[in-house]
Amino acid sequence: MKKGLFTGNEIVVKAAIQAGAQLMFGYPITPSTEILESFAEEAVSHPELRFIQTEDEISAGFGVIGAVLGGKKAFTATAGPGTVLMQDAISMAEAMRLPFVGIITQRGGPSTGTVIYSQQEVTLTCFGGNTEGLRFVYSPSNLQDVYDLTIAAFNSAWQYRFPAFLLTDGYLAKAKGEVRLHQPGYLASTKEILGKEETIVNIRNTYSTEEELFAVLKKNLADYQKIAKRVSRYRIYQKKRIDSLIFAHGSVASACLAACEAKDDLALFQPLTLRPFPRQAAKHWAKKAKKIFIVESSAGQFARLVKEALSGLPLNMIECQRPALGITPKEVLEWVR
Amino acid sequence: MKREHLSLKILLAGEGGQGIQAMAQILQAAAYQTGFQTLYIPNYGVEQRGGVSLAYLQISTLPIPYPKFKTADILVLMCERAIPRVKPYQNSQTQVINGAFFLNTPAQHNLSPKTHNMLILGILSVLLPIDSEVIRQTIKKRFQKAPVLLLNQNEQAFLLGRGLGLRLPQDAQRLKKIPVDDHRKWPDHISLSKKDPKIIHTIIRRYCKSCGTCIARCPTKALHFSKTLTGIYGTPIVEVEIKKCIGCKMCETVCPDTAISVKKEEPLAGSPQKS
Amino acid sequence: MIPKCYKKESLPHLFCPGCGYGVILKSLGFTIDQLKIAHQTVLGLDIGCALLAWNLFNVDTIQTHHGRTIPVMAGLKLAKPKAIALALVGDGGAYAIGLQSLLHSAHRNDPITVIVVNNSLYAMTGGQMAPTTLEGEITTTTPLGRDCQKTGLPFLGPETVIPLTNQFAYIARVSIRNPFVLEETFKKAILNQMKGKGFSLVEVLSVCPTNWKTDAEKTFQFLKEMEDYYRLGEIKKPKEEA
Repeated sequence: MKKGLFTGNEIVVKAAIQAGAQLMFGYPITPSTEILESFAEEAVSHPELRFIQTEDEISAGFGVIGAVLGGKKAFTATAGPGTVLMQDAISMAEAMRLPFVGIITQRGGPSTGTVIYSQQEVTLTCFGGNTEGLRFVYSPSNLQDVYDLTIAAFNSAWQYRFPAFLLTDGYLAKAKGEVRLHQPGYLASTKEILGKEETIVNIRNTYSTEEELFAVLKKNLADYQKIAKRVSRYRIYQKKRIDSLIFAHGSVASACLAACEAKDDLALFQPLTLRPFPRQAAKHWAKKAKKIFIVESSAGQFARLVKEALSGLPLNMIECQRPALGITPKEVLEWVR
Repeated sequence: MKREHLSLKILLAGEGGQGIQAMAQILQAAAYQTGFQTLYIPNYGVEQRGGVSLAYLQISTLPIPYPKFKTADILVLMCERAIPRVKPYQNSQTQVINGAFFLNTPAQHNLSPKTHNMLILGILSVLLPIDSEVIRQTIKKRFQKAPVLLLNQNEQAFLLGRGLGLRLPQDAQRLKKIPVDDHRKWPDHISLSKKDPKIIHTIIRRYCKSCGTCIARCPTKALHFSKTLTGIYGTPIVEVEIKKCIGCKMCETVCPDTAISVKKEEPLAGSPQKS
Repeated sequence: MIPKCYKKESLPHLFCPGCGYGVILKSLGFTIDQLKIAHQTVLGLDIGCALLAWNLFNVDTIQTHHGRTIPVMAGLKLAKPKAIALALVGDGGAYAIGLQSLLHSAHRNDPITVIVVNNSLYAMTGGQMAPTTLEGEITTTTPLGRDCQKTGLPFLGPETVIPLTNQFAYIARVSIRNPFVLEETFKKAILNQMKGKGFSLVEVLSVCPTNWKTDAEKTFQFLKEMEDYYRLGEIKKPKEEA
């Protein structure tokens, strides 16, 4: 099997191409820019690939929509203020059940913040736009995850028709390490929505009455609910016993994992999907712990998801919040002492 | 004077362009002036004309917390296409005024079709504890900037409607008794020329929205509004004076609603051509 | 007199009495009939009155977000080059919120056809000022008439786009006064795409009696005022093959 040293951004591109992506639209923004550049490079030697640098993230998002409507796997990548602009297109993709795929490399916010790192785009990626958050959000915690979950995002988007995101961060984007490029066992097939000569399709996203929209939403919510169990994923790391259970996602989860390896009574519950959140599993493992720690590089965006999932359980919860700051294994250990 | 408790939920339903919101606003102003608590909310979709237009009006002696309601005490229907939308608001107690029934009444009394809403307001006023003079004054104030003719006609229509309302039986009408005039079954209005060239001038009644574009662009001024037939919005359709028609098809070309079709048979070569 | 590619069950359509879209869509329909492209055409509809055409045609249609029709159609064309990508956009979608995308699409020579309907105001939302509102024109956000000193001169869309285009673009402005010219111009614009040349833009001077609050006569009088300001004709044509 092919393997080598890659950065997170490079490996996203390898995974996307492996997953069948042919078109990428994007506007440069740190720390996602190398994704655009890598794809543009790949397009040089692969004529079926096409990279379009658009005038802004709004156009990039809507370009992806146009491309998937035409039946081709397409994606975009952005960060920070770009993620904010992207919500216009993502809202449309959510409403119209389009297989939109986006890579979000979180950076410090709000506003221009830093170009480096954070976990502050959780709410935006999960629930941004004027929507109910019917999206798939994958949170990779290491470079191998970046590869695997990018492919998973394309598959879920095309199989189930909800927008899907790889919610990574600036550290993973730039970190370089070994990744195994395995062939995916399953690739979702594509389907043209518009432009098929044999059929006529009239699609709208505007409705005249509250009742008309409600009927559409009811169906989409029911579909999402049904699919949730199939899509949601998590990891559990338990050494010996569970006195304390940490909830963490993304690269912070890797730091927590290292911390857990140093102690016998510390376990880690790592959601691999923030949407749909693996609720039942979370509840199941939370019940075994005496104390719960929620660790994130944000002021509570992830904690909100955890608390919602665990609501109803009597819990001893401590939130460890370091918005826009990286968290090392040593710092995790200091917290949980 | 101690007033008995009163709470009225009035739903006005029709299409954009029928002046439903004006009706509700006038009533609200009159009710408020009379000393009632009132709350009004419009409800419509994206179209400026046609499409859904609803007005929820509540009149009460007590404060009103929420602008929408589930069941109407009085339901005012302004066109038949609104019926399916408002069925859920009706129960066995709801009083129904079928405004659609009176769509041609203004024309019959030489009043502009634009006054239809004021006519129905007149009928509705019979059911309300509001002095009709207060309503009439509110109408005058509302349309004071309108051309004098329209202002007078609006007042006349209101009074005419009130007269009609006083003569209507007080027991409630039921929605299922109202015959539905399916516009899809309306026959086309066809005019044939009696002399050469043979022209067949067809107006598709259910498409005509009374915009008047064809009348403005006809080179021989052969088109005018009908005094009897109405189109999809209850407004007069166009009719042709076939004698004046030269079969140029200008009307067909400029009609935004593809409501006109002109077929002209060219006269045989050698035969005299009539203008 | 009804285009073959119209969906007859959708008539009478959702547009107001006297709406310019009635004439524009009819002409577009006849053009699609003539070119026999109903099955390959995809018509993108911007937010605004254009969206009311969503079920009018037996042609693929899609409502997009406001000002985003052009990038959607550009993306679609890339994924499906055989499709004939049309974008139907109002003056707001083209020259305000969507201007950025219009300029860049023209600049890239995206092989799509954009039809801009200019009725000098934002009709669906009730008649507010648009970039194309004439000096002194009364709208709901310019109750005393547009003051061009404060809001700029009425926007010349095609003229603004042309300097960014290359030799393959087709750019024209027409008026609904003559539906035959509309048909001919739409045909040339769409052929520019079909022949693989590139970007085409047709601005149509249109009318809105509902928000202008005019009867038929006054409607066409105001259209004349627009025609006096906005130059009609084929403003840019692609160079013929050598």
